Amino acid sequence: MTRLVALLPEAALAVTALLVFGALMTEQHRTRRARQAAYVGGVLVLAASLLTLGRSEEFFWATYRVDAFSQLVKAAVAVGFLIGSFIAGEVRGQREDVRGEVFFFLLASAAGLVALSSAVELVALYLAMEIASFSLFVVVPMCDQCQMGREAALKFIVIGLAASAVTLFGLSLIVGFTGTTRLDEIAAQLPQLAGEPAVTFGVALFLAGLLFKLAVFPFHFWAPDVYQAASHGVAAFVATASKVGAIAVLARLISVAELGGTRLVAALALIAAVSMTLGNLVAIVQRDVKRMLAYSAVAQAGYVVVGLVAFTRAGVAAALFYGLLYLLMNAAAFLVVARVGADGTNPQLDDLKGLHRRSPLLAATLLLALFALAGVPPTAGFVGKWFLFSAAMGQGWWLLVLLAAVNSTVSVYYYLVAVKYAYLLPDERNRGPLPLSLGDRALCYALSGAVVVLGVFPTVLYRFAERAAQLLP
Amino acid sequence: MSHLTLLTLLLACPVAGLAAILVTPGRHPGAIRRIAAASGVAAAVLVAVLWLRFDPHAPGYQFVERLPWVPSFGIEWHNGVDGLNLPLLVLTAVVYLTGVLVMWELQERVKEYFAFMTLLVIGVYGVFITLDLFFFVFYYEVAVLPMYLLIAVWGSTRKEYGAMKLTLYLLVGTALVVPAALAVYWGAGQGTFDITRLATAHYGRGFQLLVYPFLFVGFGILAGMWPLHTWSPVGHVAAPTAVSMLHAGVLMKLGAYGILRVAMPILPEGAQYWAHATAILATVNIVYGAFVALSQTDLKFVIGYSSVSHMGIVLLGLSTLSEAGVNGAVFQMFSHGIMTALFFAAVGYIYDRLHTRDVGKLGGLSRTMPVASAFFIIAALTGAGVPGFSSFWAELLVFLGTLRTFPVLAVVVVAALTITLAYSIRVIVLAFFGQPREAHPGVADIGFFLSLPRAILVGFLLLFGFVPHLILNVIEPATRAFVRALP
Amino acid sequence: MTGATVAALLAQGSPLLACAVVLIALRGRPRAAAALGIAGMGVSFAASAYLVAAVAVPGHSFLAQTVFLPVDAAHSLAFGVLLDPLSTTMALVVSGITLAVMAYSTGYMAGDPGYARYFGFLALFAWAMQGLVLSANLLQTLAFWELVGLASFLLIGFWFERPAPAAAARKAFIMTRVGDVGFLLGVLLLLRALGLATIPDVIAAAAPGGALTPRTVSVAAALLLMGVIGKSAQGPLFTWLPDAMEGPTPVSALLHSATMVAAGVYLVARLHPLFMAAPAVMHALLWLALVTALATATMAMVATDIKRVLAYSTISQLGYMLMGLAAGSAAAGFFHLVTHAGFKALLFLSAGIFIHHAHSNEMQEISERAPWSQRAGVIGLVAGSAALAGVIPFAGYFSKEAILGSLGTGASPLVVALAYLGAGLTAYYAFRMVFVTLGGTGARAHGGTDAPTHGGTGERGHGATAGERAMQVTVLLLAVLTLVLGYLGPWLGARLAPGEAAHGPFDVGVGALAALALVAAGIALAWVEFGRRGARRVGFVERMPALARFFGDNWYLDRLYRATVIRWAVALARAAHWNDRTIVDGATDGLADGTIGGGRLLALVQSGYVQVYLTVALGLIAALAYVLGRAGGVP
Repeated sequence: MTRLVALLPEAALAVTALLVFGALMTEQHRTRRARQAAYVGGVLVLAASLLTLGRSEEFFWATYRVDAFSQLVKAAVAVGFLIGSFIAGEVRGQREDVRGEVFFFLLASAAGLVALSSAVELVALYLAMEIASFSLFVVVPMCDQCQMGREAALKFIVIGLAASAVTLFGLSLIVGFTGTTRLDEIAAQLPQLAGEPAVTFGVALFLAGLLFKLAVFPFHFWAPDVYQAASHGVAAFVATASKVGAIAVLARLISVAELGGTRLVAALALIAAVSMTLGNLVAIVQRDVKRMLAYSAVAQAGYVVVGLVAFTRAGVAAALFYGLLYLLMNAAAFLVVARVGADGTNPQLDDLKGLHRRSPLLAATLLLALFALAGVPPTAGFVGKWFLFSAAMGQGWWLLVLLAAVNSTVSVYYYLVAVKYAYLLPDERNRGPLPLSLGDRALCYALSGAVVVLGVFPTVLYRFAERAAQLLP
Repeated sequence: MSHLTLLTLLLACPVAGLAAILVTPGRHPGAIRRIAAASGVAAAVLVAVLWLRFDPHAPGYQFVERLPWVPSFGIEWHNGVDGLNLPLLVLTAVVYLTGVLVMWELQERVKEYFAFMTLLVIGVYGVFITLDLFFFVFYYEVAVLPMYLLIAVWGSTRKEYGAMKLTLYLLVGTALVVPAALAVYWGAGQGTFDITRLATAHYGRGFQLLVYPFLFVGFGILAGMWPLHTWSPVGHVAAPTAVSMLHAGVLMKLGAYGILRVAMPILPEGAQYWAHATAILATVNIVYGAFVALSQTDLKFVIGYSSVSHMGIVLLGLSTLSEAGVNGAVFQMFSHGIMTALFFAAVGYIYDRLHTRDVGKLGGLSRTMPVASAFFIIAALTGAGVPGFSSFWAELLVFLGTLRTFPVLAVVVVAALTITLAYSIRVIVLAFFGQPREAHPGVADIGFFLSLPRAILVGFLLLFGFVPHLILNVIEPATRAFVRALP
Repeated sequence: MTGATVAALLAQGSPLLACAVVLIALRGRPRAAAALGIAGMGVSFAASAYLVAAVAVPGHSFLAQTVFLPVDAAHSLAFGVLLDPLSTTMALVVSGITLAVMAYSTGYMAGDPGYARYFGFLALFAWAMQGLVLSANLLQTLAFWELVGLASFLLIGFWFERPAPAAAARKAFIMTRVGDVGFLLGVLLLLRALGLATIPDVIAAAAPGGALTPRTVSVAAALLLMGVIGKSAQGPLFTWLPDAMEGPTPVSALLHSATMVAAGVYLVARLHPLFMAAPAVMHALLWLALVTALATATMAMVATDIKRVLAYSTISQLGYMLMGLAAGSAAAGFFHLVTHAGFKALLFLSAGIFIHHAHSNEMQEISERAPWSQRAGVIGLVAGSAALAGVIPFAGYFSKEAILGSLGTGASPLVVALAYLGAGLTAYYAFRMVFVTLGGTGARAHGGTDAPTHGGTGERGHGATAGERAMQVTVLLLAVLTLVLGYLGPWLGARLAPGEAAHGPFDVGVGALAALALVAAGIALAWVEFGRRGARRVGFVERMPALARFFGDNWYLDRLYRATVIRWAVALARAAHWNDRTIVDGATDGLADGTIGGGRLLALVQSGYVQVYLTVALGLIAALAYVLGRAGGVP
């Protein structure tokens, strides 16, 4: 019976879902109640997954595995969800009639991610992925720049479906050759099947599905449009929680699959290289901050893959660690974006002008977030990248690492441009100071504090990530 | 001994200063200035204590601190002092303190300014005290982070361009250093970033020859290595006074120090193999920089290129791999730091008062502001290698080492002294002699308080110019060990 | 710490202390500054006198040194003082002349806005020179050598607001630095070969069978000579000295007699054995000095500015000193250095009196403004010129005799002949100067009385202020000195080079007679052309305009330099600057723009058409499938 305690997070999710649903049934204040329910639920899930961090159990005929890894990811997802729904907050720029529903769908997507982090069986994995994706398909168009939202959502859906079709095909290939859907068994058979191109191809296709969620080239095309079209809160969720989820499951697959040295790895390396370069170069020319962040996300995903290419525990740990840091920095960035574009519109670079006068706190947060994304110490981005690159270097990918390092230099350029707007250029429209709620302030301090502290003292969190990676099957 | 001691305290001074500045509301600029000055003084005192308690003849590092940081990765909180970085700590202390005093009159965005400046100094101190490769790179980049804003916000000529150029150049440097550092980490295969242990590890010859250029160039960029030097004049011209002081005075030394502390000890064979190439590059630095300086009209550009030229002397000294050369290089790092700081401090005052640095518009300053001019002239003469100021001995040692190793280059470099003198004197004559070319009514000479920091710098130049062994006795034993370690 | 060390330290330290205090604390208080400067020099003079009298007895030398500059594990250079007859005598000369000049300056510079600074710089100059003279280590010598250059830069450019002095100072500093490059390389070479540069050790090592190979010695000697040529304004590098006249006249007196230019000659005397160990180099030096002496004599013959005449004469006399040294007689060369210091200072200071009186350097104008009213000046000018010309019994005669004599022993007849010719020319231009300056014989005595007064001091001899009295006294003292100094020859010779055959003062041989005859001829010619009543006051050279222009323009050397070296350097600088801006910066900026352009290009892929996205994605997957298929194909 005590085994079931390990499922506490899932239970919390279910309860929250009911709460939110109930809140939406009510007549007046439905939005506010839904929001509060979402907050409560997020906190519950976070607490639950941290509580069960030590446990290691298997459920449902060993298709669902609870271990340090999954719980860490769940906690991260919960954080992402909380921040997303907090940023959604008053859900300005959301369609009137569906204000409350946003929280419900975000929650659903979060549930999918939670399941994703624990699934050790292909079908379960696939279903979890689809749950996570489909609820996003629904929520993205729910913003009031409807045209744009619809178009973006349509692209999102089409590409998403294509991706899942690809995934399914890959899955079928794998199952066909190995005769099982359990990851560990597949992993056991892979070595003797390594020579078989179809299997490798299958694996590749399956990975493609995940790369789509991670928005890595060539499956990144949806990201800029979606980031731009979705409301701030949703975009924040997409940029944080679902990224972590994708990283997590990718890491899990990598850690079981003995693929080191095959052409698949080469392909991954290539993908990493391209998406780093492409993401950074294109980000340079963006004027819309959210779009810029989208491209930078593509590049960041590339860095993560650099770490994963190593196919070592160290690489997995580094990737997971970076995923967690990335969640924080990106959240900080989106918080600033949301508050600058408080009326729900997407802030352009020009809207950042004079930010250091309008709200020093936001400016500082943005500064730290961007420098973290750029990987400049003392922010966490530096340590994270250091671990990622080190993992790759350990496997002799020195050219890839060199490229990555050069890329982060390139990325500094556009981050600095944003900083320049925030700190240097005067605001000729001289708008008044930005009002920040208490919660906003708290979150700003918390996130920037975390970004710096983790940058200087990564030890504890990194040890968790390592433990998680070690405990993987 | 593994407990925290002086060095962590030393690092804590600017950190505490930064924290205090951040919590102080921006409407009390006076308080913020005083906080910055206080942290500078505290750090200076600690450095003085280090200097006094430092035993030059004890082997290895002193005041060593070790704490595991990320054990699984072999990252340690590992600090130590020897004869190579102690002078540079003194340099940092002096330049930072004087820099704060020089900017005392700053009015706009005081809080942010001093916050970033303190952050910069944290990075500098960190690089100089740490013995862990991870933290080395960490601090190295920390020093870069605030530079962009310091220049772009408070700077003057083409500040955004200069700031961006400078930042990107330095980050290109780190983009070369980081992979090289990781390569060394895995190449040593001991799972540690401890520089001292990495230095004892064995690497294949091919590995050394391949990786050394990455480290040398990566660090060399920050040392103003030709042809990757153009960020430095542009950046210095754009930067506000104290930032120019810190940057040309201290940050450029970080690059040379990186070569000295990381590149050469860890990859000695590489250093050996590439010595000729680097020496030639350094010579180009010296001669080329001097010639470019000869045709500048902006005082700060002259200084910027003179820095390029003088840093060439440092690189040359390092390239000789000889004790005399390295002694000279370290000494030159110190004295050039002080000298350039004085240079920029002097120009800063002139620019604040006359709002121009164009020698075509100045002239006759020695009459209108004799003391302020005297400071510049002293710096210029120091740069021109006039004895009585510390640079003379430093450069002499470098030349001696070079004559032993690369006689031809030595002749070239010594001959270039003529050009060095020529551009220094040219500027002195154009800007400070003759009649004022433009009327600058009501310009007062520098007051006591503002001349204080500059006087301190002059004092150091003279002190080590008259008793060079005071500092060489500290450097020399460390250099001996350093050179012995090379094959 | 023996008495000798203390005295040596005092001799150097007191001027430095005076300089520091004056420049830092007393800039606003001229009288105090002057007093302090003079006091400092007085101490220095006394100390030097003590050294000469007590310490440096012939043949005995005293060396005190302490570690100064650690080079590496093996070597660390020791600096200190080397006290022997040569150095101590020179120290005495330096401090004496400086003291005289300082006393004189109290009058000459009275009322100048930079009065205090002036004395500070003078003290600096004295310190540098004393340090150079007493230094025990070649590196130490080099350091003070540079400081001497610095001090002369500051003093030549003392009136820095005027363009001419500023330019002259720059020229002096840079041209001497050209020579110093050689000096530095020479010292470095010795350091490399020996690991030390203590003067006695170097000399010992240079001796036959010493640690140094003859080749090293020759190279080192040649390199060191470059420094000498620069400092002592010889050969191609002399042109800075005439321009250096832009400084205040007392400074010129100092610069030309005992300090700046004397340093080069002193160095040769100091390292005489080393140089003698490189005979080829010495031979070259002999010719170089000879040519310089003659060439500058010709220039002195046409110069109209009294200070320029004196400047050329200095160069020419320095040539003689070096000839003496090159010919192998340390005593003769140094003897001439000493006497020359005396009478050249005398000449400049008395010229200063006229200039101060007439507010002009042009001999013609001076002669029109009642030169005879300046008694002291007249006496000084005549006595000094007689000494310069080598008229018996003035000091110059004896020392020049000694040099010509020493030539007689070694050098080729041609050299000797030319040297004598030079002596004749010297007499000519010296007295040309005298006759032109005093020429009016008071005829147009009321000439320049309407000249603007300068610095608040009166412009007439009678009713002179305290300052002017100081000037006159100094000049008269020096005039007496020129009569005395000549008889020091044997004494000096005995002290310096006990070995050498001493040239007694009155051993009148053929050489001496010939010399005196030539001198007489020169003076006679000058008298005919300028002196006698109704003289046309035009020299025989002036009658040949082309030649006169050639002589008057430093033999066109400056034009040559301006047309070649300087132009090239400037062009090179411009080229480097252009390269930096265009090529290097262009490359990096281009790279940056290229990156951004690349971004624009890649952004086009994000066309917004979903079908494009899918095509790209699926196409790549297909490609991957193909690759993997191929991979599977090969076992």
